[in-house]
Amino acid sequence: QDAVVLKVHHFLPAGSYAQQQFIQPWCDKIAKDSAGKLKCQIYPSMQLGGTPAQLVDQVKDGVADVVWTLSGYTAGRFPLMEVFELPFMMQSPEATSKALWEYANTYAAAEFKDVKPIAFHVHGDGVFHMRDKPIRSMADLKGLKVRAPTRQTNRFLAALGATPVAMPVPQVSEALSKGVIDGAVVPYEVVPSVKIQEIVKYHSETDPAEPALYTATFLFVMNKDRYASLSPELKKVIDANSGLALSGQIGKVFLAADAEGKKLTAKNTTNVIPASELAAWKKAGQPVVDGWIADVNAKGANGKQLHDAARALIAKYQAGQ
Amino acid sequence: MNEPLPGARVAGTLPGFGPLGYRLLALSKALAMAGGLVFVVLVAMSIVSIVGRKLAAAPVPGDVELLQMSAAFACACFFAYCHLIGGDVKVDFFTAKASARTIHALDALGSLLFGLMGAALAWRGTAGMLAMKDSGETSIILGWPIWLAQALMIPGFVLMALAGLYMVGAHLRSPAVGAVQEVTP
Amino acid sequence: MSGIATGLWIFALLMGLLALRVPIGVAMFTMGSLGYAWLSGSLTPLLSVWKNVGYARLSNYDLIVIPMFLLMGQFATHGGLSAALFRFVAAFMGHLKGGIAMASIGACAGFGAICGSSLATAATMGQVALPELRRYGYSGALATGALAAGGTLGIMIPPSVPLVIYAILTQESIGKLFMAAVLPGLIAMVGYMVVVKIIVTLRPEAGPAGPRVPWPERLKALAQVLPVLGVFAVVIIGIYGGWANPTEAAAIGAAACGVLAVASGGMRLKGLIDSALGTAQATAMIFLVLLGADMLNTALALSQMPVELAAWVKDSGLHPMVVMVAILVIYIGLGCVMDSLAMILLTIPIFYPMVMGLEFHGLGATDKSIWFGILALMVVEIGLVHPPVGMNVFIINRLARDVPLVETFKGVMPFLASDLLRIVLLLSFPAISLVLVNTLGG
Ligand code: NA
Ligand code: NA
Repeated sequence: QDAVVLKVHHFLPAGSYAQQQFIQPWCDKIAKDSAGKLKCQIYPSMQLGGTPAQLVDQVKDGVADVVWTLSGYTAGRFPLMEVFELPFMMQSPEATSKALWEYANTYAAAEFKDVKPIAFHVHGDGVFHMRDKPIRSMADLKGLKVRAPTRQTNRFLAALGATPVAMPVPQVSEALSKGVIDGAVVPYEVVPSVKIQEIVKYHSETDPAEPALYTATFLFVMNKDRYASLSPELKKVIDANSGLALSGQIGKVFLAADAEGKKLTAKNTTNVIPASELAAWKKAGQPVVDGWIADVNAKGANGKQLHDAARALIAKYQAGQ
Repeated sequence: MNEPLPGARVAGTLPGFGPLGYRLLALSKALAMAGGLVFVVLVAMSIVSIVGRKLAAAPVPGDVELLQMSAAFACACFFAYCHLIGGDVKVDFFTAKASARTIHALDALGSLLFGLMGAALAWRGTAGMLAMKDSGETSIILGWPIWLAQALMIPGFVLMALAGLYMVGAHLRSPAVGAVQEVTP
Repeated sequence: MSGIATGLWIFALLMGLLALRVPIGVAMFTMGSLGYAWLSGSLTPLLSVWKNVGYARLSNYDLIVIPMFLLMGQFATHGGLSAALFRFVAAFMGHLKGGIAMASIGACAGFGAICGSSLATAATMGQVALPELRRYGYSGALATGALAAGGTLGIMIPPSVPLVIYAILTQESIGKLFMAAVLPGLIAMVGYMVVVKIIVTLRPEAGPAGPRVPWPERLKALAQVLPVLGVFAVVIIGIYGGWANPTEAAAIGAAACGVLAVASGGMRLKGLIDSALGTAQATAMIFLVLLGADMLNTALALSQMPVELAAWVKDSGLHPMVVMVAILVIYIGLGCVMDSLAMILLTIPIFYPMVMGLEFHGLGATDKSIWFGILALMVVEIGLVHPPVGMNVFIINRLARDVPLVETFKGVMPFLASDLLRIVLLLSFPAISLVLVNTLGG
């Protein structure tokens, strides 16, 4: 009998760290576990058409069988997941990815009723990459144009006094080199793909003992009907290769990717924003948190409870590491 | 001083073009004009945004997403007009010596496929728009609903379908003699 | 059926539809849709893809640069600006045999320095130069051929949209790639002028010399071109001087041309409306093809034809240079049916790792990657002018309604020869693309 071939679609190039270190290994693993009866055909760089924001619809409709995407590309679509994108939530990507998996399945399952979740994860610490001057304090951000990925991070930057600019990652290097933006917040893992180190001179991290400035959440999900159509034996292979452990594992891969990316920035100047300064940032970011709670409350959920639950889960998995 | 411009110069139509065709053409032309003027406005907005950014660190908020949503609407407005005036890019290499009857028959086929393409984009675009409305997706900075931008594209696609289907008849009605004429209505 | 066989079927039927005068974008969309449904074995995925294809393509930020520059061209034409640019070059070269054609190519290169799109360059300069070429009695073949080829300078000379896409896909520096394209772009311009020279030497009646323009009038042409140079300076400073990204720079250029057109008295309300309509038509022509290419590429990606093709080339155990030539030949073949942006998007992820794994002239990784980017740019640019589907040829030919398409394709052939020669040159001497990057930095 012919092997079942899953169409895996994502927005990064084939050579990207994400495909090489996590998507391809996952595909190899399911092929091995199913003795070659379940395989992947990976379509990188949006080869199956559409925009990154449409990956969610594509997997829902069965255009692709499995997709990997950033939930922030579709603002407003996963409002409950956004709690992880609020300021100073994430501890380590591994622990926070596990927390995200449990949170998504416990509290936000309604947002994924149309798909079969394989993993949810976050990326590592968001870092400032600045053209002309480092960020040492909130005052340094005043009036600067800074690119951020998700709407919560955009609100946070605005709360800190910066002028947020939204744009897809591929446009960041050009915008930076032209001075359209003064800086960008992305994790180090993104550095090689946009060559940020060649354009900016300064990298401003936050105190590693503190929670990250921000993170973003990713979905690795499968089409529901496609999963249902698999034989019980192959369903078992998918089940064995999805869930909490995989989510944590992907978080770890992204942490390693950060280390790789950071190496490239060695010739630039790096500074760490101390915890004492970050206290003021947390205060400034509180309205963003309150805003999210109010938004979610307006949709009939209990925002405060969800926020506390997410924090508790992160703490739980952090302690378990 | 003004050289002739490709779009503004002629509204080329066919001998088989009837009153309904002229009404469709007027509608498509108005829509295309509106879409073109949207770009004029987008140019102005970009200037305001660039100047604001340079002088006051205050770009137009969400200028990129405004540009994307408006451009999608504007571009969808253009197709019907372009087809009605015979402005499509096509290969006439292999049919250079064919009779007018053959040309009209082939162009009727092209118009049919054009109309079907418009119908597909209008029908499925509407489905996509409704799905987007359900999912509540918004733009990142302004928080504007994406489905609204998609909804604005639908009239352009509907007109595209109508233009294609109308031109099938216009080609079939056109006399089987003489060259394919370009006339100004 | 193998991916290659499926892909070939899609191509063959596409060719059939094209031969039957079906509009190119529509034919691509039709075959892409049919191929996609056939490959998925059901209609459902196709119906889903159709939901998003319109918005995905038409809201693409990088593509908005095209209507922006078309609008700029409309304004520039109404204000007599691109005409002034052309007249300025023509005042100094027009008295030579074939001089007006050479001037058209020079003006295309000038326009290419602010425009990232070949089609926009062809459309804009075609509007200005074609009536002049015909007025001086240039043959239809030479007039349209020179403009179709000259239009490719729009992407050969940076800024260049395909290069930006290449940079993104390969994680290469946009700045370095732009710099690497400068010298090959200038060589292309000179090469095209030499072609004109050869043609008029062989057949003087194809490109008669215009009257020699006396110096006072040359100075007048210079005075008239100053506002244009001003606009160009604004746009170039906008792009290279750190004001704006290409889309914004296009907006700056359009605004500047619009203001000049109004100030010169060349544009009133009617001119504005005409500009809007002209932009509408030209944009529709180009974007219909982009929409179709999107659908076709989706089907081809699904068929795995590009992947299988690449694997076959790689496994052949051939000399690296043979593989490279094979890749370039595949590009030229794909250029028969695909637009340059779509070609780059579809194939670079496959060919790039292949090229990077082979040895060429002992080049380091970055140098090799930049060199291949410029080579790829040159071959996809060829796709814009070679038959049966050369977008530039179609655009220029649409402007010249009295010239049969066959004439234009004949006219473009000598320029195609110079393209091939230049590719061989760059293939043998990668330094042509690397010298500026390595001396000035990216
Ligand atoms: Na250019
Ligand atoms: Na013609």
